[in-house]
Amino acid sequence: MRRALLLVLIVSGLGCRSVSSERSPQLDVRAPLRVAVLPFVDAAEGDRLLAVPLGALMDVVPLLSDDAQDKAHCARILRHKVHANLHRTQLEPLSPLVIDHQLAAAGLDPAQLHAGDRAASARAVARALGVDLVVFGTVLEWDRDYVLVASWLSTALDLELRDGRSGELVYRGEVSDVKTAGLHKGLVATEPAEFAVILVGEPLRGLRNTLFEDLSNEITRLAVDDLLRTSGAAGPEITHVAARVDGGRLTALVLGAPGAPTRLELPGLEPVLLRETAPGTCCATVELPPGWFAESGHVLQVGEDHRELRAALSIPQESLLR
Amino acid sequence: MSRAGPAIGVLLLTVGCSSAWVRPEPTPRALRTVAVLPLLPAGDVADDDLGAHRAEMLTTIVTGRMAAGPYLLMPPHTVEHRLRAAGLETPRAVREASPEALHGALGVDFVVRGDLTEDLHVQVGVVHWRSVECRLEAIDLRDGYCFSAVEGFEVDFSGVLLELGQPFEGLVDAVDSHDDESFVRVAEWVVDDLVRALPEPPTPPEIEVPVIRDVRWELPAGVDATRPLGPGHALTVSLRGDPGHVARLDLGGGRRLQLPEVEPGHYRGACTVMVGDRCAAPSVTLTAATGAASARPLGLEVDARPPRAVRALHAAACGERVVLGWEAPPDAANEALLYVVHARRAGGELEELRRAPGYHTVLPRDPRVVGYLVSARSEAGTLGPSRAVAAPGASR
Repeated sequence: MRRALLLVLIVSGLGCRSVSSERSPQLDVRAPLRVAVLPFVDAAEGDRLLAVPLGALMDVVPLLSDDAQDKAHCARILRHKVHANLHRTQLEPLSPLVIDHQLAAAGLDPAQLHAGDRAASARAVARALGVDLVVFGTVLEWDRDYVLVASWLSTALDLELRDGRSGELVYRGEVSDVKTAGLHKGLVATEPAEFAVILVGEPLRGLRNTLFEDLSNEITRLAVDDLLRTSGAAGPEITHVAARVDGGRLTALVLGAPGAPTRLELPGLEPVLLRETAPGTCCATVELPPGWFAESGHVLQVGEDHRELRAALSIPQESLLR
Repeated sequence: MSRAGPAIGVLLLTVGCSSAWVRPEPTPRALRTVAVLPLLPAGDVADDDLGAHRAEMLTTIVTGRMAAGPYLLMPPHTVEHRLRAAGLETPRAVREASPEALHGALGVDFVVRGDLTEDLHVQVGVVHWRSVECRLEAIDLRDGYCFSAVEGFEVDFSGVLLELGQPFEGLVDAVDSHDDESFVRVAEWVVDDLVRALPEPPTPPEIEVPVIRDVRWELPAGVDATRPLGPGHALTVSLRGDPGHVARLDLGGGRRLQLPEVEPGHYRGACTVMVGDRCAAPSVTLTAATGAASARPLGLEVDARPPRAVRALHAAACGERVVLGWEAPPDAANEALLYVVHARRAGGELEELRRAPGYHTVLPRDPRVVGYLVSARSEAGTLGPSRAVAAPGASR
């Protein structure tokens, strides 16, 4: 597979947020592809050194922290949040309930799918679930280090998207982020009282039980944003729309922005993706069910910037009534 | 700044609250399937230019969070499609529809709908305030009863002087606070709380996977099904399976064609392969409203990609003959089997002269011909772009 390598590295001044990814040029997340997010696997190492006894202390004080709860479910939490963020895209993520049920019914063990030959796993999942893309996720890090005066929360996630027909890797990304709180970040105080508040307040901030929730929200949003990233980011454009009905078939022609996926939406029928026959020219032919009738439909185009543009499509009545 | 300023900042960092009300008695029938309806901007948000956009973002967040919950969520594109088919084109029309009408359109047990009642962003110098408030209702469509109503409010309050001696972090927070990402961050807090407050079903919902019993396809007479289908080839597919679902012919890359249900449990449709189509394994999929689907490969291959242009085309006179030579297109993965040679006459008209299997051909010299065009032709019959060369001795 010829694959363009895209390496993006973002290091913010506030922490160690990083994103690195590679993708196939064939992947177009603007198309309405059905996608299954498989159960993630937890490969995080856990607490280290001094954080071990302090982490254990935190775990028995649920008022301060839900650290143990979050650790036990980190793979499930991140899977559901990646799935939730995929709803922001044109992709059609399959419900985790449906995925888990159909995998079990087909005798496919998620752990084995993850550990074995991923290409073969993706093909097997696609056959069982009728999906176009399969997402494998590995939690690389999910840890809170707390040393009284400072704390570090770190999360790292590895995502793989594979084509369900060929099993080929179409996207791989690794995202990580660290949230810190504590006195190591510096103190700026003009008054003794202010200094005292900072001295007590900042270490306490590291114990907030919502930090993992925020971090998991951010890291999954970051992962899906990276998946959506397209160069150029041109908007959608529709300059001409026409329809012709002949022999029970409707042919639609749309002129607009080149390379932008365009869908035909007719009342009562599933949307159809138009084929771009020349740059900026899209067409599709749809078989109309017997007795089908409508005065108009729509075409929907999605630009590289993921904005949508909808245009009305008039359907010639005389051809339908003939 | 007063001495109490930082302390107030600490308190406000965690400000936020949610309230929930759930019908005390359990709903009489088990709830299994749910759809999220478009949320609406309400109150001051309704007058805001960004209100509808932010309500749409909130709908997406609620949908994503509900998908991870214990109910079977109808996929949002299916909800949109069914509402549109029922004549409910706008979020306002959906809100005003009766439970009976929604049940008829969607067929789910209950819906979640709601309002974005506050989207407030205030920035004073280097300090900002971003608050989001919304309410959600869960309505049993079978009796129209609202069995759960939850309201939530969250705020993000930060700034240079409130970040406990970390002015850089506060400055970046303040700069970022006005954008969509800031809204999403706070909205996710609210929605997480609200969705958790919805009642859970006593037992996991049963999931019905549609069954495909038989799939047949037809090709026009003379088309070899063991070779890739090319442009213009008509493919007719017939599927028999469980009735009342959506059957599609899937040509890869998101290109699908619906197979209409011509009689209960019998889905049939046709498509014509178009230039550019490429699918190693076309399949048919039978999908239920919940997204559960069965798929079956057709055992065919479609490859209507045009080959690329030939390289190094040249012509040389050899007595009363002309020798044309060229090199194969650079795309070895889509190697052409034949090269089509056209002659262009002085008047501009084209005439196909030959289909050559190799990389050269010898033609009789014709004084009326001013040039030659050579195109690669794929195995499936798709003609690639032409390369042209002047005929030896022809005046330009």
